[in-house]
Amino acid sequence: MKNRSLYSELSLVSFFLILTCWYLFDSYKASASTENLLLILPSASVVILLCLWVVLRTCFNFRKQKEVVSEEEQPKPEKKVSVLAAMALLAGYVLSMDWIGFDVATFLFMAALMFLQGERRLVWLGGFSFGFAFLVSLFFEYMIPYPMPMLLGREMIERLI
Amino acid sequence: MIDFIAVQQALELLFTSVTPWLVVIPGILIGLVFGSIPGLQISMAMAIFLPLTLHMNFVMSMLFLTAIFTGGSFGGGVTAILMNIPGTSSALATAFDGYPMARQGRHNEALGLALGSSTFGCGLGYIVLFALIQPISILVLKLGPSEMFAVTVWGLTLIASLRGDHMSKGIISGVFGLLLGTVGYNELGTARGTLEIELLLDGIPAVPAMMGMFAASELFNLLNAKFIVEDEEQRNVSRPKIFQGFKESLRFPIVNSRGSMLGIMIGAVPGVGSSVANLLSYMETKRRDKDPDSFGHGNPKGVMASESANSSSEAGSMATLLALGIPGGGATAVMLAVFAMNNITGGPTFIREQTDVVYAIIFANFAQVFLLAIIGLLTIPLLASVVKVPVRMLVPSVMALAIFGSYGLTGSMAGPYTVLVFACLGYVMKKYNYSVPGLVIGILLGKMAESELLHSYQISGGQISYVFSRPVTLFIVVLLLLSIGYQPIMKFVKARWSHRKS
Repeated sequence: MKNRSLYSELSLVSFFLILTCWYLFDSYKASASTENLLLILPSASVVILLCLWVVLRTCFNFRKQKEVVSEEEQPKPEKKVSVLAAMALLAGYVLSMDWIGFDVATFLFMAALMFLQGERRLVWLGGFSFGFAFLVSLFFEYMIPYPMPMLLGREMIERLI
Repeated sequence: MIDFIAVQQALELLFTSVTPWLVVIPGILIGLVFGSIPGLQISMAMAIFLPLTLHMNFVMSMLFLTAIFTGGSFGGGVTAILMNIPGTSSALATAFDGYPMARQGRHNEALGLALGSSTFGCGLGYIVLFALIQPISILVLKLGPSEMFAVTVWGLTLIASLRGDHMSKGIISGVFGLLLGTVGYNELGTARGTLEIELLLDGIPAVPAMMGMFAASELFNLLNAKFIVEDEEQRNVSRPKIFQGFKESLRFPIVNSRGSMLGIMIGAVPGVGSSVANLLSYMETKRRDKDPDSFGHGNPKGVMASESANSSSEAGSMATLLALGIPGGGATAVMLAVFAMNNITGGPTFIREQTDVVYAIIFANFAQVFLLAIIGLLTIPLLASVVKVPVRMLVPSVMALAIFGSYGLTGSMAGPYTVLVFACLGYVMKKYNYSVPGLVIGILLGKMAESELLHSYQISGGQISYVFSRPVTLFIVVLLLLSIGYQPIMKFVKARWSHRKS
């Protein structure tokens, strides 16, 4: 558990480090002029140095730390699963909305996330999700000046009227 | 400084007919609704309702738009307190203590405090504007790119103090955010970090990133809770408690006045405005407080500091608009459209020749302050009912709203994608004590910081001595160093003192 926590923390620092190095390289490749790198070079240097410092400090603290973090402080396993599942649902929602329409994607996402959180009443799962998704989609479709991908939406209502 | 004949004419303009006032209450309500819905911006509300002003005269149009502005400034704080979604960047610091207060069952008090401080800030802002509109406009003209860069960096360096216990991680977050803020085309037309993705050419959209980092990542943490406020008794919406919070905010005139003055000064700087003002005010209040560690855990002063600053910055941005004809942000840019529609050009000539109109706008805003207090107290109980909604319904609803809002802001899938990426990143960053507000501030200020630094570089020809010829820049740099150094130095001195004593 302790090792996993260390690796997770190091992964996050490495993410910052790698992304910063890549961004600096990409900016340099785009243009090596002073004007282009005026802010990016010093900022990236600060991030790289501090990331290295955090890596060193984390490893040093890890070696020094003798007592294992108590079980109470660790997130419960089922919570982790539910967060990961919620993240996956959100990703599925965002990636699918362009294909199946904002309204249907929202309805499916809401019903699935409510189900994941323990809602089992069909009236709420179907009724609330549908009502909310439909009303919000319609509201935004009317309010914002850009076209929104929809399966039902305004067009269907206008046809019905 | 005050033209009393113009004052009399302004009063006549406002009170000879009831017509100009008919648009004020609808304006405040529109602002409150748009401010309270995540993803809908005040500027968006103003733009949507702008065509209505075609049927109004100039004063009435300005009254309508400033009423939306006033209502929206407070409305953004409501979602920051109840859902941890700062609907606008100006309500960022309100979420720091407002949301913890809500989770402790003190949502009524927090909303009352926010309303009280908003009212105070807005009122004081317009009083100062009334008295000092001409000197403010002269001062703003003296600000060059080096000063703007210094103000931006000042806003950014606050992140280090935001996470006093993990300073290196705070700085990493902020500077990394600054780098993310520069993604896309720069002023010279060079594209960086776009991975050849078309959506990234304009850069990372800041407000959707903020929504993802604050709202969606926080919602992941709520997944296994039943309600935002666990204790059933504390979940009640209580009008007396809201009113108590409102009264409580008036018991801290120093916190409110400091926030308001900072809001006016920073709000007058075009482009920086309320998004930096609320943070500066928050940090100053935290720095001066006897118990700075309680900030971020539900300290009412944090809510007051932020709300007084973001509300008063409205007056600051109005000063720039009226006196120079330069819009400080999106909302004042829409107001500039009203100027153009009425063939009016803001600037020193406008102030000199149409002082009565300027004063009429300011006086109308005094009245709006009182109306905001009344309408706010009447509508908050309805808005606060969010805490009664079970989390299993609230989480998907708010996430969906954030996604829709982000699409509304960007007009493309860039918004929803940004929310998704930053929601996951925000969740992981919080877990490992990285500063989420720091990253958000960095993204918000990145483009501006780069642009101002570039202008300073071009003006100075790369000579560092240029900074020494700019007293205002030097003054801001000194303030910046003081705000960073004060806390660690005081800690060190106190430690030495107690060590010697023992």
